[in-house]
Amino acid sequence: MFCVLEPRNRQWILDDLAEEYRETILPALGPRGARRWYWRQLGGSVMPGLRLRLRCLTARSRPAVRKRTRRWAARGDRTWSELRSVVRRLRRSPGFTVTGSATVALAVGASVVVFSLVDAVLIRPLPYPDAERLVSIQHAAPGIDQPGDGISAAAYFVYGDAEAVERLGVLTEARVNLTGQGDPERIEVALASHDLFATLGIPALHGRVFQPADAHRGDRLTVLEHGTWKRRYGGDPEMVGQRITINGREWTVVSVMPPGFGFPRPSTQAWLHVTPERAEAGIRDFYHVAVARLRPGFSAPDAASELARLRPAFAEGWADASPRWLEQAGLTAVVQPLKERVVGDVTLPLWLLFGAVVLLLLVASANVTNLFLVRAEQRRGELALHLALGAGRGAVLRHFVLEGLALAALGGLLGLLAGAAAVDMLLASAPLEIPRLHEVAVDGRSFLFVALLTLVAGATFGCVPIWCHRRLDVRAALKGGGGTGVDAPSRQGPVRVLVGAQVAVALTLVVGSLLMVRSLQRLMQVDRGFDGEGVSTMFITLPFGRYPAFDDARRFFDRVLQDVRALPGVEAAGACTDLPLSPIVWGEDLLPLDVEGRPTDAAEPAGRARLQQYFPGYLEALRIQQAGHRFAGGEPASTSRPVLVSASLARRLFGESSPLGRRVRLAARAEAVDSDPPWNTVVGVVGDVRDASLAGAPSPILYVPVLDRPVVEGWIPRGMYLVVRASVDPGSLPPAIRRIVGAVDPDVPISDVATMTALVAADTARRRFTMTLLAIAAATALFLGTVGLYGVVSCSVGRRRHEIGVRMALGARSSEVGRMIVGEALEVTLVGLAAGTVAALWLTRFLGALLYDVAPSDPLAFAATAGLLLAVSVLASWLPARRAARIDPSRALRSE
Amino acid sequence: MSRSELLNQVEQLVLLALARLGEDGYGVTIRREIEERAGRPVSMAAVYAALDRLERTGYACAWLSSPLPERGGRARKHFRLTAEGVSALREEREAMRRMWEGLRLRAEAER
Repeated sequence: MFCVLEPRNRQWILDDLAEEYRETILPALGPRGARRWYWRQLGGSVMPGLRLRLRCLTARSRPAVRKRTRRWAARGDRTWSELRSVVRRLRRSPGFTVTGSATVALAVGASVVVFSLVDAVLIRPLPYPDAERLVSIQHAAPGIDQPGDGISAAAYFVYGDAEAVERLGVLTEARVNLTGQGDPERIEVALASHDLFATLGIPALHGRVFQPADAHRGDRLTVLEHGTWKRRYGGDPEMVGQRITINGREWTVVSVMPPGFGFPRPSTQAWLHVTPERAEAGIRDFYHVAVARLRPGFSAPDAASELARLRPAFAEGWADASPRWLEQAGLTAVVQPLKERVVGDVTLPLWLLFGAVVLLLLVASANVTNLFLVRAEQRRGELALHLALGAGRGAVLRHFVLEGLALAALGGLLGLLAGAAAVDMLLASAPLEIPRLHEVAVDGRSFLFVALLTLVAGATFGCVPIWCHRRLDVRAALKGGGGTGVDAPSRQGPVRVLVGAQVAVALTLVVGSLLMVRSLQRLMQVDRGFDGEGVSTMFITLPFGRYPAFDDARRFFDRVLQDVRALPGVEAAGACTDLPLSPIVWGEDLLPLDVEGRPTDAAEPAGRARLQQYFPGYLEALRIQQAGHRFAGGEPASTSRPVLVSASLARRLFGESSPLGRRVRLAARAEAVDSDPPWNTVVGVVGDVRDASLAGAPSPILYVPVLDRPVVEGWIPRGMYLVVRASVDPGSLPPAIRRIVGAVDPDVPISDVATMTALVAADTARRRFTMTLLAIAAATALFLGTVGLYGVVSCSVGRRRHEIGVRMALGARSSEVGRMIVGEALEVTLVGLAAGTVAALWLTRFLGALLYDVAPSDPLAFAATAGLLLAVSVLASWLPARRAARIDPSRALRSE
Repeated sequence: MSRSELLNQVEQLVLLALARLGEDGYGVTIRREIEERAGRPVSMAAVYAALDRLERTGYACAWLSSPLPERGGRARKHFRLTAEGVSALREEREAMRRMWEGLRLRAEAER
C-alpha cells in the first residue's frame, strides 16, 4: 500500500484506513473478513493511486500531454478492470484454472531448471574480465605418438612474443602431498607460470598473485584456493606469508584466491609458482596447459595462423631442438576459445536436455490450448451475444488474450518457484563434474525467460480459440446455443491437430528414453573383465625424499599389504599403478613394445600396451582371470624377468599361437640412455579388462609384477593404488587401512578412496544423468498427452450427445458407438504416431554419441513406443466411449 | 474555475457525501457514507484521489483538526464543501434532472 500511494496524501489515507479498520471493520467482520476487506482496499487503490501519481507528474506539462496521459490512464483503467473480471471468471471455474495453470507450471518449472543450466554453462561467458579474448592453445602432432595435447615449454616463450597474444600463461597439473597442520593430504595443484593469473585477470582476495618479478626469485611461492584455505587453515587471513609443506619442501603462501575461482578445475586446490626456464625449455613435451589473452582485434583463427607461421622458431635454439623431429611431428597450434575447452564435454547432453524441455513445453501448450478451445466452444453462445450487443472484435480478442495471459502468468509464477527449488536441489546433489556448475543460479535472466514464455503462451492460449471462431455466425450461434448437429469439421480440426502433435512429441521423448535405457542396460551387462563387488581402492603416494630406492618403497608396500591382509574379512589385497575405470590417467598412454625375433622399428613397433605394474594379490582382489604362472609376494625374480600379457595384447603380438615363453620388451626410446633394454619373458595371460571405460575397448596391457627386483629398470613404486577385496562392508576398510599406513609411516597420505562399485557407477554417470532427465520429460509428456486426449474425447462426447442419440435411434448398437469413439481417438493417435516417427528418426540422431550398442533408429524401441502410445490412447478414450455407449437415445434426442 | 471539466462519478458522490457530513467529513466518514448510502464500494485511495481533484478545482477545501484527545492521537485531514462546490452540485443535479426527465417517460411507455 505504501508503494502504491503517492507521498502527499499517503499518511492520511493510511491513518484513515487504520482507524476504520480498527473501529468498524474488525468488530463487524472479524479478523478474516477484515483482512479480506483490506486486500480489497488495496486492489481498489492501485488505479487511483497510479492515476494520482500520474497527475502529479504531469501537473506541470502541456495540456496536450495531459490529455494523452489521461487517455492512457483511462485505457489502463479499463484493462485493469477487465483483468479483475477475468480473474473472477477464472476463479469460478476452478477445474479449468487448476488444470491449466498446473500444466503450465510443470512445463515452465522444467524449462527454468534446464534454462538456468544451459545459460550458466553454455551461454554465459566465463567469469573472467573480457572473457571472449581468452583462448586455450594446444598442440596437435599427428606425425608422432603425442602423449598429451598441451604445448611445450619452448612454445611458452615463442608464442608469448606473438603479436596476437597480449599475455600467455601456462600450467601443468600435478598431485602433491600436503603435510603439517592437519592430516597428510594429497591435493591437486597447478604448477603455474607467473603470468597465469595476470592472463585470466582475477586479483587475489588476500595478498597478491604471482608477478613477473617472481620468476627470478629463488623462493617457492604458492597461492591457495579459497575452499582449501577455509577448510584446512580456518580462513585465517594471516596465512598470507606463512609457510606450508608440500612434498617435504616449504612453500610460502603469497595469496588466497576469491571463492568460486578454480582453474583449470574446480578441484584445483593450490597454485605453485613454476615458470619454465628458457635455458632448459624443450620442444618435445606436451604437458603445458596454455591460456592466452588475445590482443583486441585478433580472433582465434588469426592467432592460429600467426602461431603456425612461428613454427620454424622451434627448429633450433632449444634444449632438444631438431628440425627433423619438427618435420616428422607436423606440429600445429590449435587455438580455441577458452570457454569451449572448459565446457566441451557437456555441450551435447545439455543441448539434448534443452531440446527435450522445448518439446515438453510444446506438449503442455498444446494441452492448455486445447483446454481453451473447448472452453471457447462452450462459451460460443455468450461470445455471440457480446458481438451482437456491439462489442468490437478487438474487445473480445482482448478479453480472451487477457484470460490466456492471466492463466499463463499464474502457471508461470508457480513454475518459476518450483524451478528455483528444483535448481537448489540439483546444486545440492551436484551430479557429476558438470563444469561451471557453481555458477548456476535462478536470476534475472531466468525470470525474463519465464516472462517471455508466459507471454507467448498466454497470447497463444487467447488467440488460437479466437482464430478458430473467427468466422462465427452470430445469428446461428445465438439460436443454436451448444451444438446440435454434427461438429463442424472446422472446429474439430485444430483440436485434433493439437492432440496429434502431443502424441508425436510424446513418441519422440519416449523413444529417446527407451534408447538411453537400453544403452545403459547393455553397458552394465558388458563383460568388464573384473569383479568389483566388495572391493575398496585408494591411492598411496610415497614422498620422494624418504623413499629414494626401489627396496625402500617395495618394503613399505609389502608391509602395508601384509598388515591389510591380516585384517578381519579381507580376502585378497594387492596394489597396482593403473586402476581400471579410475578417473585419473597416469603417465603415458600406450608404450611401444618389441618382440624378440622381430626386427625393431621405431616408427612401427610390434605392438603397444599400457604398463601395469602390480603387487601380487591385485589380480586376485579384482578376480581378473589369469592363466599361467601365479605370483606370490616377495618372490625372487628369476633371471627371465617374468611378465604377463593381456589377452588382446597376446593376440595382437602373437596371433593364435601361445605367448608363453616368448620374450618382449619396452621399445627403446631415442633419448633413453639405455638403448638396449632387457628382454622380459611372458609367463602368463590375463583376461581383458575394460580399464578406460565400460564403453571403450579393453586396452592391451603388459602386467609387470613387483618382485624383489624391478622388472623395468629404474622404476620405483612410489604411487600405487591399493586394491582390497573383503567380505565386510567396504566403507569400514579405509579407516583401518589409514591406521595401518600411519603406523608404518605417518607422513604418507591416502587419497582417492573409492569402492570399485562407485567407480563403475561414475563411469556411467553422465549417461545415467541424461537418461533420468529424458525419462522424466517423457513420463511428463505421456501424462500430459493422456490427460489431454481424455479431456478432448470426453468433451467431444458431451457435445455430440444429440448426434449419438440419432445414431442409436437409427439402429446403431451401443458397442458400435463405443468403438466409433475409440476408433476416432485411435485415428488421431495414428496420425500423431506417423508424424512423430518421422520427427523422432531425425532427432534421435543427436543422441548418437551417448548410445551404446543401440542404433538411433532401433526398430524395437520405436515399435514398443508406438504400441505403448496406442494402448494409452485406447485407455484414455475408453471411459468417454463407455459413457457414449450408455447414452439413452430418447433422452439425448429430446434434450436439444 | 474549471466549469469545463466534468465531474466524474466518484467526485460527485464525494461532493454529495461532503454536503451531508458538513464538518464531520474526513476520509473514513466520506468513504463510509458513499458505501452505505449509495451502495458503491470505493477504496480510500479513490476517495482521496477525488478529493485531491476537487480541491484543485476549488469545490472543496481541506482543514486539519487538532490532535485527537487520546494517547498517540493524530490530526485528521477534514474536508468541506466550498461555495463553488455547492453551486457545482446544484448544476449537476439540474443537468441530471433534465436528462432523466425525458428518459423516464419513454422507458416507462415501452414497458
